[in-house]
Order: sequence, then structure tokens, then C-alpha cells
Amino acid sequence: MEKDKLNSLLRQVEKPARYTGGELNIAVKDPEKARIRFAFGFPDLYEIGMSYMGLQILYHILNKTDDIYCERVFSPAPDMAELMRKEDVPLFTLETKTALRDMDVVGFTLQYEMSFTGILDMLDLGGITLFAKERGEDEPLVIAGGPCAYNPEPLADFIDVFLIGDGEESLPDFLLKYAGAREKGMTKAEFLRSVAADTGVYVPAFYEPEYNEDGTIKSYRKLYDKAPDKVERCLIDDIENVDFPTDLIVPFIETVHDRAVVETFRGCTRGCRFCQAGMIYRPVRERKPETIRELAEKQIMSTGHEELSLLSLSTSDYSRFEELATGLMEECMEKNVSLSLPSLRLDSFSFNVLNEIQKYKKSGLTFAPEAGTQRLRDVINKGITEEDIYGAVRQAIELGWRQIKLYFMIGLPTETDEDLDGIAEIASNIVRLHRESGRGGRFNVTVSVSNFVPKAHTPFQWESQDTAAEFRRKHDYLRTRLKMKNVTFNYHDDEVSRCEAIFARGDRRCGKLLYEAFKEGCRLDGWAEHFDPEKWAKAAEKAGIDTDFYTCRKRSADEVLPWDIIDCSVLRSYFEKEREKAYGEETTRDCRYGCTGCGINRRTKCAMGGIYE
Amino acid sequence: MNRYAMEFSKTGMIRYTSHLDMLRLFKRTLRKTGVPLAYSQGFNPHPKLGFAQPLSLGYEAKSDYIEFETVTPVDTSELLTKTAAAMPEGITVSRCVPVLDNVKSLAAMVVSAEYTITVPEALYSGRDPGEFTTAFLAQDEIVVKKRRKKDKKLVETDIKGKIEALKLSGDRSLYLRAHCGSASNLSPDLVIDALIRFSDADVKKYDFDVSRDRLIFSGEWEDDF
Repeated sequence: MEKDKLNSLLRQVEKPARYTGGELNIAVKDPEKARIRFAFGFPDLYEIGMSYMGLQILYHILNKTDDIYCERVFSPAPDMAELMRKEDVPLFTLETKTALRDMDVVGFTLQYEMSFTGILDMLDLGGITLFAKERGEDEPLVIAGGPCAYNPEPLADFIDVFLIGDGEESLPDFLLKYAGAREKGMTKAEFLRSVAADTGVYVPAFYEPEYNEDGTIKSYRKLYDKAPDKVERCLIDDIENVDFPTDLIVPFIETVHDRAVVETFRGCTRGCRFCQAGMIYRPVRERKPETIRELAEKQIMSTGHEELSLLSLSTSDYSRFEELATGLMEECMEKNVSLSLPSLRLDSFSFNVLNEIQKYKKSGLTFAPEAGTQRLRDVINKGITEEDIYGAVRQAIELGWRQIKLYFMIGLPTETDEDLDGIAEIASNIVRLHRESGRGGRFNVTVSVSNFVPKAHTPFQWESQDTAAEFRRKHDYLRTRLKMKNVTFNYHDDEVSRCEAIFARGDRRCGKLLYEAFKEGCRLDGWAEHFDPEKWAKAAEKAGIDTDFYTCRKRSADEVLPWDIIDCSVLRSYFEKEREKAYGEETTRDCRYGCTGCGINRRTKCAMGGIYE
Repeated sequence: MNRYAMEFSKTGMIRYTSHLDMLRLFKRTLRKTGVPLAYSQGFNPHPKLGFAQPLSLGYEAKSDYIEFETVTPVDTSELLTKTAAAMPEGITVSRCVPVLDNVKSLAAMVVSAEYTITVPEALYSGRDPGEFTTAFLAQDEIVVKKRRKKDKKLVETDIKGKIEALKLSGDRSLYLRAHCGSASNLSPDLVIDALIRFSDADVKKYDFDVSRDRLIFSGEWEDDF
């Protein structure tokens, strides 16, 4: 791209460093020498995308080989997007300022449903034809992966290939295969047929859904007989064997998380019934404490970061957590680096750790009971009791914490107003604990309530979401109940949650809604200031989509679900069994205390299964 | 007290990195070199370092300075080499020198600065660039609208007294020397505003390019020993 033009644009926008590239540790290569050029697209702003560790991991792994040049591209903010359209400047990669349409492959990571319009915007700004079937041979191949690819159908019209599951091995393999195919002069269609049977590869063009009269899916018709009936996710058996980056890219501008990060383990054994991550990342695969410490040390050396954090679904579930935390604390102290440990289970050891690392600056303590009564917590299998919370709060108050944050979900299956009362009760009990402690001073309990969005590949995948009216009634109800001193009440917008729910379990017809929403100008829908429910309503009308069909409709057990095409390696029968147990208010143990039969061990070794038996 | 100053240039795309982000960049980079930076006392200690003069977002710099303190004396040439190796493209550190003990901070000693302003050709609207520049300077007063800090109101102000020199330095570039620093400061942005106003041509502020070429201090601060 012309330098003068870019400079002129950058002088007119907010935070121009979002678009300059050139950060520390980026890959500098001669694009001519790479066999394949890949744009890693994150469909949200730079500050969000650069805080996502998956990008750093894949960027590092892809750029290790000279055959691949992986560059980055993010959603431009509205001011930049508008200027680019006005000045006819195509969306470009940060590393070499190459227009997206001139890349070989453009890939998007699907981290949350509300970023989907960003994908269409980025393709359009990048000069790439939106619909996969209309895209020319000379245009890039468009691929996608990440958790939302486990229900790929709403994006099926726009994406050539979805890569399901762990990407560290599958993504470089796939890209090199494509490089080889093009060198041999194969067409895109020929290439797609050649990889259709590879693990983790889902090519939507090889399948055509047929619908029943009531709008549900009748079946999937295969258009290419060698395409698999079900696409099995890619799974790395031992994450010790895959490379983890120590040379993280260090952004110039402040991002959401500006810190060194080491992934301690992947997966979770707790089995919360609403949680998709807890299902699709099974089994738990840990890194060794020595590896983690070494990675942390190298990252700090290579980045100059002043903060270190650990990444997993539940920090203190790491099997050798005490040993690891103690070691890291010493290391950080010595190096003047602050340690941040998210999602700790608040037992006495964790308290000592927290007290040590937050000596002067005590941030709030966070609990996620998710539901207000023991009954409902049993339904969702959230293994936390009120005594756990109160015991921890008592200790926290003693140690000087003054801010408690509580996370709940509303609209969960079987929920009644009694469960909402329970939320208020927990908040008021915590306030009372502080009063009784006689410690006085400022004290605040923040209650944050999100709206339940049923997700694919979970025991609750058949459940109905609450209607908008019901969500609003519950918000009002809670607002009245939580009007108490020292309590702050926050809740999520119900329109956003409904929109999220459409795409979380949507079928291929939702692509039309997405396209209409894009045309209406919907962008950055995860941002409250950009989400526009009126535009979405208009888009739904134009697309002829009855949103209730996707949100507040209970699916029957024998319904063909849009995501049945994807095999997440956890048994459908396990989800059914878990759902029945939910209705019976019956809990399922953490599988470290004994296998619960989810079926993942048919595919791989379950190293943590039953270790505490 | 071990005071040092490092001279650096900032060119290319990194010019879109703001003053505060530059501070973070230097902080991280110096940490990486292992230099024993002196920290402030208190609950939230931070390293003692600061730029001689902030630089506006989008400007290049040819010779800016960052000043810092260390707990023990350091080998400046070794530190310079390490810092140079750890800097991203666009930041070139050229010198690291000790600062005299008994002087004020560099920031307090900056009085003026020299700039190169690259202007769009259209600015001259066909007039001779030299004649244009002379006529511009010959105005009795050079009035621009400036946002007042205290109430954010746009007020007219005469900047002529703060311009020490302005002359043609190339077909499309001007040399500007102007007040800079805490006592009296003139942003080249305002000079650009005035140029646009004087010219009446349809040029936009973002068609101009600014480089700060030199900072001028009120006294000697380099420790030669």
C-alpha cells in the first residue's frame, strides 16, 4: 500500500498504533519466499485480539517455518473503517500492509458469537467476496476455527473450511497442504476434496441441509461422498509436546491484558452443565511445573512485561498448584514482576498466595456461584456451596478485602423466583458478615448477572432460553431485591444475549440474518456502545428469520441439531444423561474423583481421570 | 544518584505510538537490559525515568532524550548496545551519557526545539514558496484558534512571539525553531493551522508531516567524565 495514503489515514484516526504493526517480536519475513501467506484475523479491535493467547500461540507456531508467513489483521474501529471505505483503502495485514484479498488464506478465530458481523466487515473491507460459493479461484481461501466453530452453520455461507479443535498441529498441516495443492495447480474445489476426510476439517459446501415443515432440520445431504458423516475435532494428546511461545508480541498500546501468560493446562474436569468450554476442551492436559516456570521466565526476559498470569479454565485445579504457585511467587518477587492468578478456588492455600501477591493493592475477590440456591446449583452441577462462599468471605474480610464480586446467571433451566431470591440472600449475608466482623470501613458487594445462553455441545443444548420479556421481568425483580446498602447490581443486556443465543445454536439459514445485519451496519456487537438492537430487528425481518425459533424453543431429544455434524468427542448420550440428572437435581462429581463416562477416553488418554479416587 | 540520558530517534510507523506508550516501551526495554533502574518509594513503586519533552502523536523525532536514574553506576556503552538490540524498528538509540548531578531535570531545561515541517505542494497555491514563507512571517500577528486548557474554549491567540525562526529548507519543507518546554511552548500544529489559514488553499492538517530535529536546552547537562 502507498505509504503517504496510509500516513494520511493514520493521522486522522483514534489510536493509530492499532494499525501500524512493527511491535516487538513480530515475524519479519520476505513474503516472496514463503510458500503460503496466511492472515490471522481476529474479528474485534486490536486491543481485544492482542490479549488473546491463542493468536500468540498459533502465530508463533506458524512462523517457525519459513514456508508459512502468518500475519495479523483485526477489525478496524468505526472511524478507520469509514475512512478506508471513503478513501478506497483495503483492509491490510499489520506485518506487510498487504490487502487481505492478496493473501493466500485468511483465517478467523471464532471466540464469541457477537464478533461474527466483524468477519463479514473484514472480508468486505479486505476486498474479498463475501459468499464462499461466489468467491473466485484468485481470491484467498477463507477458513475459521475456535470454540464457536463447534456450531459452524451460521457462518457456513461465508467460510470455505472450518478447522475444528486444537489448531497447533492441524493449522500448519492444512496450510502446507494448500501450498502444495496450489503448486501442483489444483483448483480450490480439488483441494477441498483432497482434505475433506482429514481430522477436524469441515467443508460446508459438501453438505446440504434439508428441512422439515416445522423448520427443524430433516437431514444433511452429502454432496461429496468422501466427506465424513461427522467431523471429528483435532485433539493434541499431550500439550507438553507442542511449542508454546516465549517471544510474545508486545503491543505498543495498552491492551486488555498486557502481560506474560503461560497456559498451565487445557480442559476442565468439573462438568458444569452450562459450560461449553468444559466439554469441548476435554480431557485435562497439563504442562509440567518445570516447563511452566521455564516458559514464564523466558517470556518475562523476552518481553519485559511487568505482570505474569496463568491461563487455564480453573487455576487452582492444576494438580501441582501449590508447588507451582510457590515457585512462581519467589521468581516474580525477585524480578519485580507482579503475579496475577485468575479464577482461584478460595481455600486456605490460595488465600495465603493471594494475600502475598496482593499485599498492598487488594483487588476485589470474585466468586461465581452462578445460581442463587443450592437446588439450582445442583441442577447446573456447579460444585460450590454457600458455606464455601461464606467461609472464604469471612477470611477475606479478616485479611482486609473490601470488595466482593459475585457472578450469577439467570434464565437457567428450572429456575424460579426462589432462585432469584437466593441471589439477594447471598449478597445480604455477605454484607452482614462484614458488619458482624466489626471491621467497619467501606465495603462493597457487586452482583453481576448474565443471561443464560444455551450452547451447543453441552447438556443444556436442547434447552429454551428465556424470552426477552421474562429476562426483563427478572432483571426488574432482582433490581428491587438487591436495593440494599453496599450492594451494586449489574446485569447484561437481554437483547445481546438473545442475539448471541441465535448464533450459538443457529443453523445455516442464520447466515442470511448475519448478512442482512452486516448490510444494516451492525459491527462490534460485543460492545454495548456499538450494539444496535433496532438494526438487528430490521435484519431479522429482512432475512425472514423468526428469532424465537432459535432462542426460546425447547428442542426435542430426537431433533437433528445443526451442530450434529461436529463430533466434539464427548458422547451425546453423556449430554442426555447429564440433562436428566439436572432435572433430578442430581450432581455429577468432578471426574478427578472417578470417571463419569463422558467418552473422551475412547479417543485419548485421560491423564487426570480418577487421580483422586 | 546516577543520572543518565539516552538520545534516540523515532521514525517510520512507530511515530503513531503515543507519549505514554513510548514511556512504557522504554520502561520494558530497560527492564530487559537488566539495568538497575532506581524506583520511587511507596506502595506502587515505579522506575524513575522520563522524556526530556513529550512528542505529539504522529511526529517523528531525530534527537530526543530520555532521562533515568539507576541505583548503581552503569557501563553506558554496554547499556546502549543492549537497548539498541531490544528496541523495535523505528527507535534508534544513538548515545547514552551521564547527566551532571547538580542540574535540573532535562525536562526542566528544554527551552526551544527545531522542526522540519513537510508541507503539501498545494499549500502555496502556485505562489513562490520562498515568497509565501516570507509573507507569512511578515504578518503583524499570526493568529490561531487554540483550545484553552482551563475551560476547553476555543480562543484566538497570537503565536508570532513564540516562533524563533521559520524558513524554507527545501521545495516542500520548512525549518521551524520555536519555543518548547514548560515555560513557553508552541506546538508546530498551531503553526500548521496558521499556514493553512494564511494560504486559503484546500489542504488538510493530515497532509503535513512534522519531525522534531533537535531539542535546545537552557544550559549544559552532560557530564563529560
